[in-house]
Amino acid sequence: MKPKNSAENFGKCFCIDCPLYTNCNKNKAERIFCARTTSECVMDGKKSCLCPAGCPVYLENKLSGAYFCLIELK
Amino acid sequence: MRKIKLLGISTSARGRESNSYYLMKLAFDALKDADLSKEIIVASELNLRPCQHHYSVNAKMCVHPCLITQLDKDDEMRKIYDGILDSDVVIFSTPIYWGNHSQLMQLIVERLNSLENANSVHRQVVVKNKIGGLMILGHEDGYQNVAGGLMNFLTEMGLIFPPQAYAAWVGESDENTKLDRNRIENGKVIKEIFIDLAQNAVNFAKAVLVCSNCGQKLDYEHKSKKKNYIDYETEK
Repeated sequence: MKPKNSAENFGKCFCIDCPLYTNCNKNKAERIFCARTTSECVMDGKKSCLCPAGCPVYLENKLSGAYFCLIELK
Repeated sequence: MRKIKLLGISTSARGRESNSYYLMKLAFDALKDADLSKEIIVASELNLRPCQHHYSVNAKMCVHPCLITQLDKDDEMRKIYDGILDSDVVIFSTPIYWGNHSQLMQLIVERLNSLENANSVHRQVVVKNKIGGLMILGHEDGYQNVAGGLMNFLTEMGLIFPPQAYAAWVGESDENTKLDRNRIENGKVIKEIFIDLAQNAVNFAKAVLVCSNCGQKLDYEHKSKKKNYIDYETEK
């Protein structure tokens, strides 16, 4: 199930430290893709996604998979 | 009765020129069962990206369909995933290099971890009611080691192995590898061993997968309860 699209989760989200995160994401204020939808920016899926590596939103919501900026969580 | 689907996955870097492909093709061609469909995937002809070991970051990151497959439209591992999941019998062929299976076979094993992980971590039985077999070719030795290693993984993934589930042949343990094909082509018993392996796997599938009295297809599902299960309910 998708995490809640809340200010609290926005604050906890690890996306801004992720190797995939770009200035494009920053300029569009894109974060917590797992709670929202995929990114509008071009992102490099060959880099290592940070979500499963300790993001509280991932852990608290018992998510599986990764790359929610590129693959929509359903 | 519906057709039994037999899939071969040939994993030599030499593709259709390899001795392992030659014997797989010969064995498949020899099967004349009317209720059998046959396909061979030549792995060296596919664009297969290596596993990125997402499992090692977090076991829950390794999912089916594999994240690489979902992210990279050029990755053709999907053909192997779909092929296995659509088949009743799956036979892998591999050459032996320095006592181990081929690098392509290892790449495929690592990518197939997502099917095994579906059960052991996500508690979803993706691979079930499928029969396995192995064809192993080498110039010197090592086939029992290769068979043991691969059967270990493939049973964890969910394949069921019949008795005598692999066929193997090795050469003369010299440096004259160019004689191997000639020996294989002229070796009646060698051919019989590989045909027997394929036929035995198909016969076993017919005996096990479909009830001859009732016509019902086997639908056995085993959810792993291994002691090394990660209990995410209590994880801190």
